[in-house]
Amino acid sequence: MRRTHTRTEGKRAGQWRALILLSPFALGCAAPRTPPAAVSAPPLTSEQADSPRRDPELEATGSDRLEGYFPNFVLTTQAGKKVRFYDDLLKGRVVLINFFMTQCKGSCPGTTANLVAVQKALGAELGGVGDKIVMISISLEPDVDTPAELADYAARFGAGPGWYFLTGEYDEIEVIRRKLGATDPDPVIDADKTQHAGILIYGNERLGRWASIPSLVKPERIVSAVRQVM
Amino acid sequence: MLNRRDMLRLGLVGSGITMLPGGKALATPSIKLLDDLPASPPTTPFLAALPTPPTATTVNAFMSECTLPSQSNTSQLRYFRLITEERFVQAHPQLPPTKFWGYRDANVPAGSWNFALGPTFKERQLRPVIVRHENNLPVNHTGFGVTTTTVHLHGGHHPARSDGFPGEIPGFNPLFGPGQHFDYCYPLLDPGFLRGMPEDTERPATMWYHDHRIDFTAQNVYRGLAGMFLVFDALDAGNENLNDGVNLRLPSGDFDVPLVLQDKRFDGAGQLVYDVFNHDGFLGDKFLVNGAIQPFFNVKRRKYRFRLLDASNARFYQVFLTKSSGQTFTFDQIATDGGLLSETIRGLQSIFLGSAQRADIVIDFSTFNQGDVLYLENRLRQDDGRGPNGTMNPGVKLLKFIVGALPATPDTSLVPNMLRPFPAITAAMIAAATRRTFVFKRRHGAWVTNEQFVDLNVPQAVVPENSREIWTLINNGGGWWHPIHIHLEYMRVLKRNGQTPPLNERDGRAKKDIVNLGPNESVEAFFHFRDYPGPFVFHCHNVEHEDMFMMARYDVS
Repeated sequence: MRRTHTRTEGKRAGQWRALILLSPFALGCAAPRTPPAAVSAPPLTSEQADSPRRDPELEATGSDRLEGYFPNFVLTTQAGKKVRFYDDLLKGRVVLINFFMTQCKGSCPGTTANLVAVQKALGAELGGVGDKIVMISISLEPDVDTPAELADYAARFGAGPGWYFLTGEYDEIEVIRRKLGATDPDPVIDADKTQHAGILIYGNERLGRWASIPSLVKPERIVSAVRQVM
Repeated sequence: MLNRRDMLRLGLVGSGITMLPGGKALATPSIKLLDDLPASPPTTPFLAALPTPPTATTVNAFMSECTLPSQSNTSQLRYFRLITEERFVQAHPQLPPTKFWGYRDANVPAGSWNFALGPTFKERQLRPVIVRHENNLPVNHTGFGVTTTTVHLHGGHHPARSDGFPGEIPGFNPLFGPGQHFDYCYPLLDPGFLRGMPEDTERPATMWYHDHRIDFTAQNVYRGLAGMFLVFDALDAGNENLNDGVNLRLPSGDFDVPLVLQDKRFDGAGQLVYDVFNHDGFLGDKFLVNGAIQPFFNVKRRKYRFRLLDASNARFYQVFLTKSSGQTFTFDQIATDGGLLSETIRGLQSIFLGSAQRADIVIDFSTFNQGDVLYLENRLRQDDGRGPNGTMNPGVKLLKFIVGALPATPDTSLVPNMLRPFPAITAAMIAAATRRTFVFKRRHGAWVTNEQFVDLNVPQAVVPENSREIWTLINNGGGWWHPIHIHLEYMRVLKRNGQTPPLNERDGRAKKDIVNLGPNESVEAFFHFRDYPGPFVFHCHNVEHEDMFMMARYDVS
């Protein structure tokens, strides 16, 4: 099917034409109609459609920013450093957060290994983890998971810099867990640590853009999810 | 907790839901987030009239980027342009205008579309339609929702490219962002046309269109991206006065009214409140019909066709026709999500709806007196996204009907016993069908289908075009309700929990495109996959579950 373009054809238009010709979706041609006004360029991929023209200094405010929503409890990292959850870790950043226990033998080892791969992929594709993007794993057994335990765990799995393993007061961590939706509505299941939520909460705090994803999906899938909030 | 006598009295038996399980998971209160969302501001019910979004209007032909099958009658082709935009609309006279995302007819200037919902399409089977959806959402958007979108026309038989596939796969990108557009081709051909065997008994009646963007469908749909799409034909002509021996003469025109049910939550400034950390299913505390909170509707003393749609993210409804005394009144059902029934179901006490389900009912207001007041009342109790957990009486009055005078011209509409008869699937076809089973389960706070999270790159089934299959859909989710929707084809429900299904979803009487699976329920449904190769999806239509990976790709090859 012939089409006229009134914009310069580039690589993308060529790919688009190939799509139409080779696509199994093309089942026949409509009768040619009067040529229209300028045909718009083909749809951009999701990562392009959103970012190029957006104001790079864009910041959400008020309820769009979930102002006042995130607790600011002081937690302790695997390096023994005290951090305020919101001010030091979330504010202004893109974050990936999950909940785990060093002693968990169920889904946690696979999840942490998967997140190590995610960290590497983020390094390759989105500029890496450390400042703009941080990863956060919060212990559901803070009495057991001391900073030393966390450091050992992180080292064993090969977690790189910019990934904070956190411990702290149990009740404060419970507040964070419930606020982030890593819960089950059945109180019996919710209280059973062996059935804890295996989800990764990710978001762009500056834009107020949040979602969650099962933490065991492929690393590439997690990276493309994170790209959606960048 | 309900017992069987309660359920019989309230008309819940045989309505497509099962007995609620005896007390366990659903009786316990759900884990509340420590900051429960504050209640919406108080609003006086029945202050505003029911909005009726205008009918979509055509534009001049344009060179479209989608293609129609050669069997399409392109001399009848109609073009539309819809603008996806952010706009402010009052959901209630006592609230400041609410920021919604919605579709606007491009023939209406920006700022003049004063409806939360998009235009209502009123189209005709076999008359093809091309819709150019143009994304004009704000580039500098902050807060929940993402501005790249895709549009699914729910309940339709369309080419894969035009079905609103949720996300990008190699060689196919259905997503479009601000400044971009996507053309959707809707041939509206009868299934089976490709092989010269079109089945005119498989025609849609009430469809709706909404965002279907991977990972963010719940947020985008909650923002308001929804509209109705009605399809007429010779049998359901949309003109109750047409007496040509074929037309059923169902109530039409001003007396054929979509009722889009949604629940939302508002803050003190009248803005939508949503919880991006709620993956169970978001519930609102304000009940909207056609985008207005608890409106009223003046009705004449005659028959009306109401096209009910549950467009809530996660809420189930059991709607009754009531008076303030609590007395209920019966009505007839003529259609489901799968189009007209073969025969009218008379004298229903209530209709049970899960997310995305439709039911067309006829209420005859001539049996009431001028000045009478009736309500569309929801008596199903639901406290969290797991599903309903009981009934309440009185319920929530969604819509107030104020009965006026007799109509200016006498009501000559009919509601015949026979509507769109169709043959049930035969024993031979059942025996010959390929069988598949899909088990839905909860896994660590997310959802799997046959042990897999959705992967749009990997179909869980590849069905040859023209194949006939029986899918057994099993809810193994432990206390959760799931409305399961399959794209492309209507299904024939053969069995529910191993038994004959209730009448309003039973093969021979009804076709469905969505079935509610209560806790531990299973449904056996027959499909005939026709005409359009390519990737499609099936999924839970609790959109928070859908976003938590409760979906699967299937391909027609």
